[in-house]
Amino acid sequence: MTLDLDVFDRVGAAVAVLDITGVRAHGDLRALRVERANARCLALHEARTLAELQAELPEALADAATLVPHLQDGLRGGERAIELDTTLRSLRGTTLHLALVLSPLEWLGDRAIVVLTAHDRSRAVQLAAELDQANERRHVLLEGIPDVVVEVGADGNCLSFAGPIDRMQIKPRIGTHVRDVMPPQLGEVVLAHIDLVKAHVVHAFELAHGERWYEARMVAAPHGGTFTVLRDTTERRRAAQQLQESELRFRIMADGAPVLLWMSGTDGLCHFFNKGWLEFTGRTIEQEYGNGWAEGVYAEDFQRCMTTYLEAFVARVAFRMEYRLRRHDGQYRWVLDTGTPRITPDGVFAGYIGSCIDITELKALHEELDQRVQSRTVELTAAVAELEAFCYSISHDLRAPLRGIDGFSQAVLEDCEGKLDGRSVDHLKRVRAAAQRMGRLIDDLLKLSRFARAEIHVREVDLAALAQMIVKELQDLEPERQVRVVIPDTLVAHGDATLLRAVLENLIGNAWKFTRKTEVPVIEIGAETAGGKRAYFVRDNGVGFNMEHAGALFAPFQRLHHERDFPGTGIGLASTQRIILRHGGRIWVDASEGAGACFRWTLPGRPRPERGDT
Amino acid sequence: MRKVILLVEDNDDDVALTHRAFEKHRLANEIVVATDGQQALDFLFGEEPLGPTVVLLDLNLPKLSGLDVLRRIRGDKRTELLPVVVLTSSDHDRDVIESYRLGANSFVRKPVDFLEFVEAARQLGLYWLMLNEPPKRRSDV
Repeated sequence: MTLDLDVFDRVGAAVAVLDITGVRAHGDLRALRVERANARCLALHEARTLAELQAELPEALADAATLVPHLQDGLRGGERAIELDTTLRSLRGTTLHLALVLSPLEWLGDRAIVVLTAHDRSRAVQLAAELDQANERRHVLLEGIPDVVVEVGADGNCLSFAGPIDRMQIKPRIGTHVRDVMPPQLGEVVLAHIDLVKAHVVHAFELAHGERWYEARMVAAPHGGTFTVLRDTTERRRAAQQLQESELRFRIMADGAPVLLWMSGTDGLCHFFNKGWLEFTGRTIEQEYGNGWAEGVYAEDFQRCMTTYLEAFVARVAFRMEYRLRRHDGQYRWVLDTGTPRITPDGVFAGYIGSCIDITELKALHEELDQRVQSRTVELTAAVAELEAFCYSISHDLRAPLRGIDGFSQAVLEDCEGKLDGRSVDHLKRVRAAAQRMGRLIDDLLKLSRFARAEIHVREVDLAALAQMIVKELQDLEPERQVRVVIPDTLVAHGDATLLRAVLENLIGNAWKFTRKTEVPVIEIGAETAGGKRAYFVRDNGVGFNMEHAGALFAPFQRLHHERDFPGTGIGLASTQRIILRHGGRIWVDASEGAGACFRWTLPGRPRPERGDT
Repeated sequence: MRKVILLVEDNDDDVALTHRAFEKHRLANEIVVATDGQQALDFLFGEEPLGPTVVLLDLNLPKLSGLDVLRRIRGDKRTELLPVVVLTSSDHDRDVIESYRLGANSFVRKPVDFLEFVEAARQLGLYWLMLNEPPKRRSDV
């Protein structure tokens, strides 16, 4: 049997004729003999000669262990050909992936003459491995993304699934029609779009599924089917909606606000004006954009305005400025503009937001008030000066005639001593007494007006020390009187020392006077806190008075007792009240007829609590 | 030495009462009365200067006020050391302060009670006319 094996070289096949014996007996290919081999077969095995191939091939084929049972089966059943893919090592140690075909020419008991045809499969094997790797990568990639991916073949049956398909109730059944793996509604939508995909290559749309929203992207696959990618956009949609709502809320608020609102970006340029602003200026938002708004600022105010704005902008601090802005009717109105830096929740500076209000009327009012205050002050100053002049002339001009009345009455009394009867002497004495009383009235009136005008120098004053001094003076004038006086160690108040001394002189003087007829006179001076306010007091157990008559007690010339019993001009309490009022305080009295009186007064300021007083 | 009092006073009643008060104590040999400020200056700086021992000066005067008279007295070498007692109805703080600032030696408010005035006059006369050692006049040196 002659066969020119080299013919096969031309068709790219490696061919050898093998004489295989003893496979059944030995269970291996030890007795295999290479009868002949073509050049490609030698080349494949990297053998240079047939002898080399003969030496190595049985061992190399023995490695392909699967070959033995095939051969055994073949010998038993007389099969026509054995095909198998196997690997074997070449002479140089490289691994060969081969597709082998063993075609028996003759079966002779335990011996077979076989034609071996071998094709190198290495390239195919490599490609398959690469394909596997690519598939693996695709799988991992698809599992890694949060989208659902469904691969559908041209026939509508599903080829693969990836992503969180459970969440969409998609059953991962490969080979099942898409309509049967997806929930009905979803399946219909996807099916309805498959034709469109073929036309557009990529087709995207949004769809609702259950309570969630998805963005579907359908891509034509090379195999004629489609990839459907479903992305859950519910959160994004919700966030966008919330943003839209808050934007809308802001617009409604901004447009409804009775102020002019503006907003600028990090570049300092304005990109928002509310309805109020646009209605005020009568311009369009396009005209106002950027620095357009500044065209409406009064020329004289422009530089100051821009400097304030830009300086604040650089320092990123809030600012307030007043400037004149042109209204739609061409009139320039004063506005108060308050700007605040906008900081995002992440702490990033985003520009400014500001609001303006029309303060033209307010400013005019302010100016008018200022003027009014000024003119009133001038008037008041004039009035005070006039009053002062009046008081001055009273002290001069009213007292001079009184001196005449008193002096000449006394002259008559002296010069006519013994010539006047008792009645006339009494009358002249009454004239003198009346003149002197009027002198005192004038003096007290002057004091009253002086207290009303005196400047008040507030400082810390110890009322206890003042009271001690006053009591001593009273005692010196009437050493025979025995009065128990209770005064704390210290009694701190805040006020004008001179005026507060006058207050105490009046009140303690009254207490001294009105306890004249009391058996055991007691005068108490102190302070107490009532209703959170500190009140000072002078209390006596003198004659007191009926509270029904207390109404006009603090008015000048009001007296509750007869001059004969308790002399006085009736101006002391009026002066006292005036002093307390001028200190911003209040004075009031509690009394009852025959049981004494208690005068209490407050002084504002913050007197510190003292030891020893209640 | 003859002791003259210059009384500067525009009110007749006050002049009469002052006379009476000083007479009571026989303190003054002579009281010369000027009824306005200008007349007072004429007496002090005229051709025959009066050279009083003390001046009793009212403040509220026609033509030239008492304070103006005081200012002129203190501004003149001849009278800069002359004792001046301001005797007035006013006890206005401003008048008191201004009087002392201009160099008044004393400030007395005329009381309504004549007996009090008599007492004041007695004390004034006693002090300024009897006890006080007046400065030597330049012409005497």
